[in-house]
Amino acid sequence: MGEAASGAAPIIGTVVAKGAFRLDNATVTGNATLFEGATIETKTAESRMELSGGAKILLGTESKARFYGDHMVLEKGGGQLQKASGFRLEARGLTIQPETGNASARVTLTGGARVELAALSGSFRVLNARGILVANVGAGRGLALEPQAGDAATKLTGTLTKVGGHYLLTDETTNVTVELAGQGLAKEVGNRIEITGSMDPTATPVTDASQFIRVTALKHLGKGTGTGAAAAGRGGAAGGGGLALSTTTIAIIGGVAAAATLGGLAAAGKLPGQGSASTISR
Amino acid sequence: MKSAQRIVSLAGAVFFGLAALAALRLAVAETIFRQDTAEAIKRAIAIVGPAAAFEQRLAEVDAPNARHALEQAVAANPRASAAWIALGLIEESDGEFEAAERSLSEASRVDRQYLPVWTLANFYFRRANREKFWVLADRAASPTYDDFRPLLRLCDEFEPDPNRMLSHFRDVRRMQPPYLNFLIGEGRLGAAEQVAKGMWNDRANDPLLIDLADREVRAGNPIPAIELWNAASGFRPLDPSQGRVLTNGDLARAPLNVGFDWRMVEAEGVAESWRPSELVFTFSGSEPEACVVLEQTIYFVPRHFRLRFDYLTGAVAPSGVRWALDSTAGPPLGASDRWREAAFDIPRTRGLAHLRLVYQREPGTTRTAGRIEFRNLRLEYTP
Repeated sequence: MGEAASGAAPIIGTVVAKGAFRLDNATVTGNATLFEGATIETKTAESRMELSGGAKILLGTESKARFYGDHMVLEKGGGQLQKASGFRLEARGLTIQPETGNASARVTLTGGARVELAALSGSFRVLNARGILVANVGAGRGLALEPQAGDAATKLTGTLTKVGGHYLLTDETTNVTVELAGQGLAKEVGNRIEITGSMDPTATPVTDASQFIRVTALKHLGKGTGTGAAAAGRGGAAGGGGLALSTTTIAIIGGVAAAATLGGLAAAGKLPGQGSASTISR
Repeated sequence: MKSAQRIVSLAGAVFFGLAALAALRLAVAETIFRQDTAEAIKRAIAIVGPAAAFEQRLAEVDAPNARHALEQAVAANPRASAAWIALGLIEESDGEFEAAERSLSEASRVDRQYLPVWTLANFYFRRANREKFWVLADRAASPTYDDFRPLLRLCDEFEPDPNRMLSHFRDVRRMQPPYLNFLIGEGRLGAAEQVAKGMWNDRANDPLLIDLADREVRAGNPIPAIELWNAASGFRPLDPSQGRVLTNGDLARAPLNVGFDWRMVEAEGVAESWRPSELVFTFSGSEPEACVVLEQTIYFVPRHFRLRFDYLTGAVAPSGVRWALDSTAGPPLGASDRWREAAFDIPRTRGLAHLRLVYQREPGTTRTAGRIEFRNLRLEYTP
């Protein structure tokens, strides 16, 4: 994009808006040079950030974010990442990073501590404040995530498999695979179950899993691989969009509650302020 | 003659027919354009041909093809500065800097307003072209724009030395106040002092200079603070070496609540007021058990000072009111239904300290109620 002028604050790109916006608390109309750590705040006009690293970010109306060369911190409202390869978004203690090049996603902060993520293309990983993987969100899927106070118990739903003597479960909502240990798992292999437990940070999970969970409670949901509420996680576009809110599966992992957003990417309307299409109940 | 009339009539009919057709085509195109999708806008363009407004909107809704649309826009209307700007920014993003410079320069040529100049200045900043940047920065500092901070940020990145930075502007006096504000906002008081020195002769700058003095006081920089204060406050100049360290002791002016003047500190349950030559404090009985109600920051030289003052209490005299230097308090003031001279011996100190009027509930009493007034405060050397 440009060269550092005097070596003071690195230039990371440009910001363009069809109207006025606030740049580091100063009012700017039209466009401006973006420095490392700059804060952009929008009112009635969206702003488009084009970063030297290639990422393009659309910051919605009534939104606020701080920008760095390799990441942004969304403080208010919502934004859309485009060509986000190598770029990450942080919001409310969560880190959202693309897994694939040319990935794009919409991220919106809604009431409470909730972060809504809709992957438009490519897939994204979501990490909690400790860097633990809490969700994999593929293209066309939407998730509402909400960090929980304290050490919330892990709660996951999926089909139990056994690979090389290890019990694995891929959560239907977050698409995160964990290794399980506990009583009663052997007879549930191949069945759809809901487990409650806690992460054991001292145990190393097998390669395919990101966490090792010690199961404290297990609920049998059905024989064989089920779809059930998981359909909600596929988004309304794929799942028909007609599911009632009560059928949305809630997962809790790494201290973060997650629920698929109804409509998923069908909610591809306006950026910020779009209605929440999911509930997270505790 | 008649045939000529017929020809004219026919020509008129054809002209109006064509005009009506053109108007109809435009109306249809407008209607389609309002659907605001890339396809609709393309259809509208197909009906009326390239139109800058249509092409510009197409560039916004069809980002992958924005560049082509903007090229069409400026071809249709070479005076469309917004299209030139958008095109220039895309060309810059694509690494085509010469093309970008041409487009952005064209925008500033056809439109002398702020945005094209500001955009081109930013471009030269990003390209580290100092020579052209300063020319544009000077042009961008136009009277029509009131928030110079983004421009000053760029200027400051190129030239952090305040005097050299200002030398790039033809109208230095115009740039000084916003630049001083900018530097104060950045917390760069040393640089702000340099700018402030060039502003002393214009009384319109006094509020800014007083603000800077206040920040210097808060930052614990007494020497520049006194210099600024003396230049801008309008009070009798402070001169610590001569023992002149108290401001507004005669209370002739309402306290400014900044810098070296009195600060009337709001305390719950205490009403504070100034009238020429006097300060009045009324305690309601619901004030905190201990609170500061008045304060002045003073730069002391290492000598003994005594505060002399006159005071008067109302029919109900408050108890527990006393003077203090920072946390060292003097004795409480007794009741006096007539103006009475009293003194507070200042503990020996040096540098910045806070002379305070405080209330501290007396042991064995309830919180106080009553009124006390002050006038004629002097801070004098003592042997």
